[in-house]
Amino acid sequence: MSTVRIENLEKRFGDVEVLKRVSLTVPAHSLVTLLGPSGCGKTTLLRLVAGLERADGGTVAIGERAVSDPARGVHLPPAARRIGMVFQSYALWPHKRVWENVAHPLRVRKTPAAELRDRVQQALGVVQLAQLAERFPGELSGGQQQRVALARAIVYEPEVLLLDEPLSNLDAKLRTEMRYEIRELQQRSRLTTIYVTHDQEEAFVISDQICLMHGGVIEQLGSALDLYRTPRTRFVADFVGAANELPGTARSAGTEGNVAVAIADGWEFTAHCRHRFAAGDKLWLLVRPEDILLVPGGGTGASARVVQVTYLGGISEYVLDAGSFRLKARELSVPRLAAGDRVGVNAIRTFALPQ
Amino acid sequence: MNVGSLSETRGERLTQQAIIVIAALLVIYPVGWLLYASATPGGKPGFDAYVALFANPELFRVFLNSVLVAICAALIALGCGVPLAFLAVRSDLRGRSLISLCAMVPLITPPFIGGLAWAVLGAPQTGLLNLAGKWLGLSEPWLNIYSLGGTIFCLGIYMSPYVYVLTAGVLAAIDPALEEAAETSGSRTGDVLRSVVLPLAIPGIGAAALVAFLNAIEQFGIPAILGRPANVFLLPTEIYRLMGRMPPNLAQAAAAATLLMVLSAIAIALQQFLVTRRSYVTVSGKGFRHKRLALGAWRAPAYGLVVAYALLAVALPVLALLVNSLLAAGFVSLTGNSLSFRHYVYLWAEYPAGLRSLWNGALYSAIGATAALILGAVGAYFIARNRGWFARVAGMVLVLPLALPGIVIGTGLMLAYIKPPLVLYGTMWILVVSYITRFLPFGERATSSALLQVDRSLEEASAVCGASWFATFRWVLLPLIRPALIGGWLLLFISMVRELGTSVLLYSYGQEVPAVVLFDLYESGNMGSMSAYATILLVLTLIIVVAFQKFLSTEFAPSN
Repeated sequence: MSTVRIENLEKRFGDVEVLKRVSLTVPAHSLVTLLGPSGCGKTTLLRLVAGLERADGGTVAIGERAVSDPARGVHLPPAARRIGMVFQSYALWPHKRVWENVAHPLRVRKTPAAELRDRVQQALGVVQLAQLAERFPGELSGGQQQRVALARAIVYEPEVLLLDEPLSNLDAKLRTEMRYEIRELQQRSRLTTIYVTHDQEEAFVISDQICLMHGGVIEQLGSALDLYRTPRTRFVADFVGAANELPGTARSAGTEGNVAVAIADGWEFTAHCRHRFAAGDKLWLLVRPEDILLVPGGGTGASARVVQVTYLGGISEYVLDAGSFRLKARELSVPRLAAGDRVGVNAIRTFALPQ
Repeated sequence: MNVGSLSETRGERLTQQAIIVIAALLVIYPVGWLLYASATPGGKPGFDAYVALFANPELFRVFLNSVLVAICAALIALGCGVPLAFLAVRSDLRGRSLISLCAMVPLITPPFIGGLAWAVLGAPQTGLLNLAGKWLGLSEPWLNIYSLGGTIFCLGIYMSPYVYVLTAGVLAAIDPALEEAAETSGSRTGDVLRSVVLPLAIPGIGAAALVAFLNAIEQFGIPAILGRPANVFLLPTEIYRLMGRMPPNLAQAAAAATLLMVLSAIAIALQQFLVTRRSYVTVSGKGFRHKRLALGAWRAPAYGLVVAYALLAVALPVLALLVNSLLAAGFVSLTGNSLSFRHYVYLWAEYPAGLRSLWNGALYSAIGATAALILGAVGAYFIARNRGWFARVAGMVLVLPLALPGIVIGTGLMLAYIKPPLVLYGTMWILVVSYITRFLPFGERATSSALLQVDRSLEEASAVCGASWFATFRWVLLPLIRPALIGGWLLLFISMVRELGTSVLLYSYGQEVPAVVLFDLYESGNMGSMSAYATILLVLTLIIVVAFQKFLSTEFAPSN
């Protein structure tokens, strides 16, 4: 298994810079997700690693091998990169049986017949499709097709497994099931894996590390917890979960990791932060809806009026009017407040970003 | 930047490009000679030949007639094709699925053979329909197919299938939700047709009319058979006459051919404009389920139209040829007929070019179809998988022959290959090359429409698996598009065997092909043998069509 090293990778389509000097290391045996909205460059990055597109600059190395380095005229074709890939459309060959589809990577490598049979069987066993080997792809359900594509990608034990939004064509229920299956398979096989998705939940379930991309650059690389609790930019805070974003000022010079913040209407908080703020710095205060603590009847500190109550099943969401701004709050309960009620507002945890 | 299929090696890529360059030269070289000859009358540079086209009243008349005839033929084709398409796709007419056989008409009776058959049916003295009139008591022949009107009528009848196919496609591709939206907002069926269906279909129908116009104006066979006896000359027949003079008036013929090429190009440009810019209907490949219109009182006229078209386009012509071929005299006489196989025997045993032409036709067409398919397929693949100027130019050059009528290609090839560096005139290869040049776009199309159905990720998946480009091609692509390739080959083969426009200019003794023999037999007034030969050709074509029906009609569907 190999580490994938991407350094200063650049890609343009015509005048559009799709990737702007992106660097990323995917450690051996780990699963890194490329997460981001459509058009952020995540699929392009994956296709560059696969060799399906040609880079305009920078390098890609799989293990010790440089597979793409345009400055030195290096571009290995996909066939020579020892990768396995699952396409969004699955790209199963409709005229070949399941068995033939999975055997193809071994065939082109001239694997001896006996070994080929064993390995195809084994790969189909891993995805629990051994009994459907003689079917044509058109005769399988979406989930089964997905597994065939997975089996084909892993059958010859590639150095890197690439998955391009593999679950986006499945229905919601199957999608949640397959997340866990893919994660389990990856952990068992310990394949170095790059996984592209636009679904934040999927990324959280499946990844060792998440690489959040936006506009052709990496916004933040880290664990799910990092991204959620200590986002580096407003984009990250916004894309990952919901957040109340309130403009504020640093009241005093902060310490490493903490700053006292004042926002409108005289509300004050002590916020976590990654930056060192000076007194008077403008900043954004981020408050996750579930970090807001509501005290029915008012309480001593800041208070607000409930404007809207929504029950989401298990979770109740409130929109609060605090005078000059609005807040969203969530509680894990049935609604216990009604529109018009006054509530006291406390925040368990807040986070400050420079403006 | 060209990206292409990234697993190709440099060599594979260069091979592709070389093949495309060869295909492009095949087209450009004769066109270049054509333009050169047209601008050098009497060996000196000048535009006299072009001026003459408009200044010489006789030539100008030919030009006007050509345009007029093609417009009238396109109108007749609209009058037949659009109602037939509507009945087949949108009506509750019983047996409507049979109407779709209309699309097969050009395979069974191509315009040229249809024209010959109508000569048998509508000649003033011996024509079967006139004899029928006499038998019913008419004193004068009521029909003279040898006329401007006869030419227009025949062209119209045989251009109708093009209009039918294109219109049916448009009508079937309109999303029923658009019509349902009109219905739920209160429109009645008639209003929906008028306010939704018709406006949506009009650009497509206009494009279909232009295709009919294009095919009519480049037809050589029908005007040669039905127009010339009445001294009606159109551009293709005029070019043939100019080339056949002693000495041939090459510059004038080349200028007329260039004019014909320009007219065709205008029609194609307009048609492309309608299809790409004005078309609201996107063919999504989804099968829609349309509500069918109850015909009510219109049922009888609808049946009338279908039956009349079947009679005029196929049944009467085929019957006429068959009957004629079996009569000793070679035509029907009211005083008495004797059945005989003498015309078949004559073709088999005595007529020197009879058997030879069948063999020649099969050989030249097989070589031509294979070459046109390979060139077209490589071109189509390259165009589909690459961006950049090379692919764009290749795309234009490969479809250029669509604007080149057979007679124009024939003229250009004769000019190009009669003198060094490449002397092909007098050998079979000039015929083969002419077929390849003329039908190159068919090869390209057969492949490109199939390639559109193959998602690129199917190839990428194979490349990622470690397969070379050639392995991917053989293992993934070829099996998926094979049915389309076989269908394309058969279509090319059949079209080439019956190609008249180029053959008639380019063949030499010993290289007769079926269309030339038919034309010769007709010219020499041997109607019995001509009918027999046409019947043989029809039967052979039918055998091919029936035997390979599944390749000619259906697209490849994934096996589920």
